[in-house]
Amino acid sequence: MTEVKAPVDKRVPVIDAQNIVKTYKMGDIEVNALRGVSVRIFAGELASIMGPSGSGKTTLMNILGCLDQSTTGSYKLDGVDVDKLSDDQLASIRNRKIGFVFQSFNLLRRTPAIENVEQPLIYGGIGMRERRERSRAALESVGLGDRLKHHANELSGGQQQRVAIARAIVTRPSLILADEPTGNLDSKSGAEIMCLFQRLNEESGITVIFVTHDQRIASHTRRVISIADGQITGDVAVEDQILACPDPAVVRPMPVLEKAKR
Amino acid sequence: MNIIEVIRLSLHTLAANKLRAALTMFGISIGVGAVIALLAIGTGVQTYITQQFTSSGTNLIAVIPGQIQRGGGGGNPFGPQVGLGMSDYRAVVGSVPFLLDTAVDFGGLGSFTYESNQSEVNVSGVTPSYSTVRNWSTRIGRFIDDGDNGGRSRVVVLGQTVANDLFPGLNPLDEVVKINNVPFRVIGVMETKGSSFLGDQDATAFIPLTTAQERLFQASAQTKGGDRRINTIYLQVQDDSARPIVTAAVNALLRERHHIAVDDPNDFSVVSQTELINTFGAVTEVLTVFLGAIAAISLLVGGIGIMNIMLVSVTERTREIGLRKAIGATSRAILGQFLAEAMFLSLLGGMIGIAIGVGGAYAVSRVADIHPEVQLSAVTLAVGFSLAVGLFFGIYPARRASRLNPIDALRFE
Ligand SMILES: Nc1ncnc2c1ncn2[C@@H]1O[C@H](COP(=O)(O)OP(=O)(O)O)[C@@H](O)[C@H]1O
Ligand SMILES: [Mg+2]
Repeated sequence: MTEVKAPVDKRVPVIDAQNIVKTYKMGDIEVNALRGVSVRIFAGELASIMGPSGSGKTTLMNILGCLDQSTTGSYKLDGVDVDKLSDDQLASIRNRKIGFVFQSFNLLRRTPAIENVEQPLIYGGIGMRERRERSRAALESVGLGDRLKHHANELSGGQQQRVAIARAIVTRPSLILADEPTGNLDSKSGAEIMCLFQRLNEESGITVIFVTHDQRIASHTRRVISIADGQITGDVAVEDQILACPDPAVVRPMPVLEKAKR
Repeated sequence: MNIIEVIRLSLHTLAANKLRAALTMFGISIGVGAVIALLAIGTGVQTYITQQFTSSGTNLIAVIPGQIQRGGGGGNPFGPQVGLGMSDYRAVVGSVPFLLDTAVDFGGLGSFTYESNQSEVNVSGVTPSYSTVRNWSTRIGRFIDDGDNGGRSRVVVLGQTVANDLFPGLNPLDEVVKINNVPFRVIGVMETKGSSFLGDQDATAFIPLTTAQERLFQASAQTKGGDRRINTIYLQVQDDSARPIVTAAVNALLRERHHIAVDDPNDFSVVSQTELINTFGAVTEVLTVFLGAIAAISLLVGGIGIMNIMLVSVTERTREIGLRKAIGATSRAILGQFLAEAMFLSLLGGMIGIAIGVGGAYAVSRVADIHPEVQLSAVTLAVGFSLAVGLFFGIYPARRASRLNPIDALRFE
């Protein structure tokens, strides 16, 4: 086990997970999906968690995303001790602080793009008018300003994933967790999505964590945390990061999206 | 997240699945409609029966020979040999208080012929007051009067059915018909009463009481005591509050006159309209409840339909539920959303059901003699019940949805 020696840093990490163990019980059999994972990620990072299938990436992401809780270990998100929170408090944290992007988009199918983006704001108790406004801004910032009323199932895969990204950023979260976000896309759409994430991170300062089994995808980030068999096996800075966006000159600047808070 | 958002969300979902929502709703609509229509019909039947009784005269008490068994059935264990006589009638008229008017009848089966036309109905020998006591007068001609009775005249007043049978399209007045081969002159035709569950009330004819006793049915006109036999004594009491007093007085008088020992039952029956209405009222009330219960079962089936659809929906939308939880929905919000869907289906279904029920009741009133009465209480009951059904059958699927683990739900294929 490679101890990750984080540099002495005065900043509060967005993610501070220590000795996370996750054991699934299936009848008599116990599956140790995570066996003591410690990881610290700071605000503004663009990092990836990379490992082969079954290595525990999704399990780790679920715990980091407060969708699940560890069997043992401690996890602080934005300095808040998540282990002690109730289900409703976790729901609130997910709503305010985390944006999820999934491999299979998970949009409401027969629902217009803008309403898909609105969903987290509904649970956040945001009023209707502000909801509309922010959702439109989010869709514009992912380049779908002309597709607001399109139903999810009328959009291409790449467009659907962009709607999902708009949904993830509309709450202005401090952290975006993306689990194999390009897994269901062709390489061109995939590159567009990667470009979006890079710009989100660059221009809005949102912390973005990628989960992937693909070395190439991981190379789009600046830090690659390797995981195998439920343990962290490496944590390196990427030397030559792949930039997915075409010449910055031809890209529209991202409008409206404010800097992420905290 | 407030209630309006919850409702908006569930309406959106239902709108995305219109056909399914409509069909589910229809199950509830049928149930509610059936409850309302059947209760309305039951109430209508009750009113109808009450009307039938009141139309035969108000505040009427009838005294008939023999013992009517409680709970229906006109058993007559003592046979006709006891019977009621004219002296009984006179004694009642002479001593019972609070009587407004009285009448008496005696008769039997009569075979009517006019030329080649025939009709067979009951002929009643009556006193002139019969017409007023029964609240029934002639349509054309006149009723039996005192002169007819004094002279034992062979005159007859026909019921409409008999008139139609013997004189199709003709005026029967002053024609001569034969009753059991005795010639009678037609002096009048009664108003139409129509038929009811009591039978065709127009299939009858009236002759003077004396004529019936002495000329037409003299063979059966003697009681054992040598008195002139009568079939029914009609007593019109002043008002309904006098009814118990009159009944008691008649009972006491006739028991004494018939020398009935203290422990023995009456050999006659005093039947009041109110009692009959109450008896039939009780029967039709049971009927109404029964109809309502049947309808309630269909409402229950509609509720199971809702539960079925909601359960399918929860399974189908497992990923959606997982996603909603991931983006911040609490269990309560999910519960609320699914419950609101079920409640909305049942409530709107109930509203449509009201329309179906009222429409159904109206349709029945078009084809039947009954006028169904849609009562507010029935509507409230049905809609309340449908809401309860929605709540009851919606809560289980909604709880299942709210308890889904977001990770499992997101992994669900
Ligand atoms: N809900 C679960 N119940 C039981 N075992 C699970 C569950 N989720 C994951 N696992 C197991 O944990 C291990 C890690 O899974 P996962 O985190 O999905 O891997 P990855 O995302 O890296 O492919 C696997 O062996 C998997 O079978
Ligand atoms: Mg995975």
